[in-house]
Amino acid sequence: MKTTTKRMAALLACIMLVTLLAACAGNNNAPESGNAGNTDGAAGQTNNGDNAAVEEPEEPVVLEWLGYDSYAEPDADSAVVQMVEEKFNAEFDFWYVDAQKWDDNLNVKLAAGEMPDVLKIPNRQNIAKYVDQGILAPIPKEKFEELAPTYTAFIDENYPEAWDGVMFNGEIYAIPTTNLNGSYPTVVIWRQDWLDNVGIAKVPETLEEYEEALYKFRNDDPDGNGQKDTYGLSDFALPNILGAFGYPGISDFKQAAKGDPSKSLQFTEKDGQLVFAAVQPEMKEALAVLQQWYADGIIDPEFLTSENTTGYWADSQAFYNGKIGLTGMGMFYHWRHELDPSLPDDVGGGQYKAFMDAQPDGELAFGVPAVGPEGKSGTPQWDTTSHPVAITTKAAEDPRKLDTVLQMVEAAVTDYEYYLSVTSGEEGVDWKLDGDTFVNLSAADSVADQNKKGKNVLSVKVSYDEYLKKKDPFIYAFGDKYANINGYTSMFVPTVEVFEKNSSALNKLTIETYLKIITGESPVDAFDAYTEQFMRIGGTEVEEAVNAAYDELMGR
Amino acid sequence: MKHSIWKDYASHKYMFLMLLPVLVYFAIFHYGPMYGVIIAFKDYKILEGTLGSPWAGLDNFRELFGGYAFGTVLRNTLIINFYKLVFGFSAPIVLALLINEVSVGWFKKSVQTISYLPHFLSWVVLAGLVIEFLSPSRGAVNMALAWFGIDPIYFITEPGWFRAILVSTDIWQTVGFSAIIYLAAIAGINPEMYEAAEVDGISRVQKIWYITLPSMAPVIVIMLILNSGAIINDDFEQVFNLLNAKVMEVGDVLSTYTYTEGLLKMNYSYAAAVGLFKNVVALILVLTANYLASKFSDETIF
Amino acid sequence: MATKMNFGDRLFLIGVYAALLVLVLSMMLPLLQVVTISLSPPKVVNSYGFHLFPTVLDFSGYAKVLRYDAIWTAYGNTVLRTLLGTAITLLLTFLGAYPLSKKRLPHRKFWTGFVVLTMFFSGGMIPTYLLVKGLGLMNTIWALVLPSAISVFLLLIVRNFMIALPESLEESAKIDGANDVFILFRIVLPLSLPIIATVGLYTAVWHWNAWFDSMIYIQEESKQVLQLILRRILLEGQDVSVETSASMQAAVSTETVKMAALVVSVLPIMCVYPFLQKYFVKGTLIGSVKG
Repeated sequence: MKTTTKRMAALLACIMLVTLLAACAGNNNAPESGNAGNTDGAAGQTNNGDNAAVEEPEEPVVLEWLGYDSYAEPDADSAVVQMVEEKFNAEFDFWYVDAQKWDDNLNVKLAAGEMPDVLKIPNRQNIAKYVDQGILAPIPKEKFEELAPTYTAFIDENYPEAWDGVMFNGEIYAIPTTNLNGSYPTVVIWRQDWLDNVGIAKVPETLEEYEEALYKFRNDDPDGNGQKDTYGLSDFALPNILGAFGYPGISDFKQAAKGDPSKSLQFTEKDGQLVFAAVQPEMKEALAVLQQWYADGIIDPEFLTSENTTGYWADSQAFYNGKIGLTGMGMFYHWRHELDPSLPDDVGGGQYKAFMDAQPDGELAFGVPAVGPEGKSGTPQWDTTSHPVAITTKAAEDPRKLDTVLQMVEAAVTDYEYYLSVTSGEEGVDWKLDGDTFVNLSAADSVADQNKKGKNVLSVKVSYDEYLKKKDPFIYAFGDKYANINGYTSMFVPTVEVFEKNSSALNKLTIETYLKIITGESPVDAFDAYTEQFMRIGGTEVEEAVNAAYDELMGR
Repeated sequence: MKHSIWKDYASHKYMFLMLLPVLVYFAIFHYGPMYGVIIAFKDYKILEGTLGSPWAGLDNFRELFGGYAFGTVLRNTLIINFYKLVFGFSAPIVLALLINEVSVGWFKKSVQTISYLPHFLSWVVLAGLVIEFLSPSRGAVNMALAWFGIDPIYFITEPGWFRAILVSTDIWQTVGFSAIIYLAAIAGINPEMYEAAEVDGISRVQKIWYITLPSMAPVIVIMLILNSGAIINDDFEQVFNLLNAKVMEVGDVLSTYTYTEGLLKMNYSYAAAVGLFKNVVALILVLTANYLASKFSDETIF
Repeated sequence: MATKMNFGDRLFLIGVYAALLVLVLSMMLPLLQVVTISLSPPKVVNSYGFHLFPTVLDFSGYAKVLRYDAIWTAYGNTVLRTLLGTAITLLLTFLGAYPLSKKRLPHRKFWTGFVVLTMFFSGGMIPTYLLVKGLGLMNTIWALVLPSAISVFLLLIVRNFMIALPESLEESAKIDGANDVFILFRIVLPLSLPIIATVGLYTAVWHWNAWFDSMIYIQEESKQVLQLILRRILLEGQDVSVETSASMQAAVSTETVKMAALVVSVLPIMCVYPFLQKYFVKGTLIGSVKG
């Protein structure tokens, strides 16, 4: 029997050996090439200066490009890509990393020792990790000022916080990008016709006025169908109500319940300290109000499965179908109810259009966030920064690469037509300028089509406020008029490991507690036990670490 | 002894010739990358690779087992999947037997085709339908209940109902597709056996019991053994799309619980530890099932 | 069915038909809903309740999907990988299952264990990626068909199916001096048509639905598979964070477009099954071999 086993082992070993020989090449080179890339990167960095002079300037600089949201592989022969290549004497080699499975996809490539030159970073938390692992190269502020002065000044003046988001150990590791949408709080939308029907002349502003209107929506048959089948609000407007008491503990109930901790674990500043908004005592008062409302039938019981039952995230089927009279969550442009006179076939915002389709006699009004007992109010506001774009250590070996990228950034904020080309496609084919008016000739393109044509691929994610407003003047004028309300800005906090470790447990605990209190399953006093548990299973530890890191960042 | 083994192999050389490409495949594509299992015991660093990353001992497992709610989550996983196995395993067998009884050709074909269709709709799509169908204000189920004077039930948020929903919708989605294998088993039965039985004048139900089912036994037993490992493997897409905060306590399972961790932290080592834990449990379950099966029949894995 | 049915059998049959009818109806619902939404304007889609039959026809969803170039190339790629992948899987599965089904195979338990163990221990995504890359399969169809060439699950089922085949047929061939290869191809395979159809169908469906491997191993847009393209369309608009300008929302596909894409992508594979059903008819096989 013993010999049998031995023979078996030998035979097996033979098979393994023969077959593994082929595989071996692949297995072995992985860590090696990874390490090689790493050391090369480091070496390249120190050699930068010497090599630069030797380079032949006529050769186009080749950039392996992943500095965009990739919904499809861009076509290298597209007019936009050709134009940019010519303008900057560059050649782009596009990477495709599926935008919806970004980390899964990118990490295997990085692990296999592959690295692009230019890399978008969807999750800023990863900057620290990438730097740690030698993937990102620092970009000196002087380089920004030298090659992209207009853009640098734009960030300095309007979005200084964007620099914080790309810093690590005192150095800048990515080109910060901005999001103008973050300057507008999410909206408050009322059924104007319902307000009229229940005899309320003014769009509610204070919490008492809100309460009066919402109770009448429930009890006074605002749709006049003779049935008690209407409610005040569902889940989209809940953060607005929380905001009447202080920084909303949960900014998006649907996503928080799906496990997204960024919607429930936001920080707010109190007495110079960063603290978790969700465990502040004012949230207990807010939950007491919501519990009462739920018990009185003001909140649609089906808020647990969200008023958005299908489709695009900003859609509210409950609002479209006349079930509730107050909603929120979307941006001003989703609910835009004034038509642009310069566009004959303008139908307004997508959600406004959907509402009007469903309720031809309906009317909506933009409101203001509820003002609470202590005068607080606001709706959640998006992050003012967007995904930064970084230069890898591989690209840092050739200084022309960074220079080219910064020049591309600068061009996108100094040359309007260049900006339109890299964001909207080929002039004359995809868009045209009618005097000063921007006319989109390819509005029906899907995001994948846009990528293929080179739209939003080589813009380095630059989102320049002045050009955005110049391109869509009516929409932003509308936003300035109707979304000029109080908002709670999302606060940037530096990455700390202990936060990442605890975030899913803290989120789970928070969303469960909030919903149990609102639905009356737990008494309001359960909030105290929740706070205690929250701090105990990681809350305290995270707050301390975050404050320490924040102080360090701010140079305190 | 030495001699006889070579002789043994030599006399089956054609057998091994056939088996060789298969063994080569498993050696290259499965045993080749298998060294990756050690990621679970390491603190994986992207650029350092699997072999170069520092060892972490059992840290990843400690993090998993020590996590807040791990006990609840593990219990939910086991309970839900146990129900799925008990009810979900027999359903396709029953369906195959029922289809086999149908003699009207077009009806048989239609049933077969339609019952396999839900398999092609992903849970992203199906979950929305299930939630609408069970809605307390407009779902078909509650409308039917109202007809009998029963107050509407918000099924999807009721801890008492949630597991039943997971199990029944899972069966509903997979039963037709899974039944195909049993239809194949039935098709392989020698018709002479039925002919002999008909002479004895036994009923249809008796035919199923005494001929069809015993003839399907080899396939049924192997399916049962292989499926026993599924008790630890949940259907992420299904649970994630149906789960809501009110039923976390009964519905949060291993895959949904570890999803946010992996997503946010891109922590390969942790994910690998979860995977390894699940697989070891599955292996134990399968071996146990195999052992039990060997007590009662010859149709086992080994 | 020449013999007269007794009362019990009749009752039983009525029960069978009724149960199947109810089941089939419940399974039609989601599909009807998907088809209806693919044909309806957003107004209908947003209204509450089931949409089983289209009330207002709107073909714009299909028009948009069919205009989408990527879908057509992806169709070709998916068909190709499905055919190639299924052929490879069938060949290897049967080559492996037959020897493992024979008790006389030396060290059968060991070889079975060698195969079964891979169900429970895998190296994970990164080592597999490195392997595929090392073998030079990146960006080729082989990266989609080789790593998944054999499913242990199906292999074991086929093996057990073969165990259940009558031994007598083989024995008579053996006496005539036939070798194992001959027996597999000339005697066992013809008897295994139902299980071949099953494995073929399961494999084909798996290949048709697979997208993750294509996402990881295929870089070029022109080589991507259909399900990856479909996934992109289906998941559009679920993520809030990508909107950085007011005009971005317009590009998001409507539910109508999404469901049209879904219908277009699953229709061909749905049509495969009815053609295979003739192999699932009881008793035809053994009869044909003998006769």
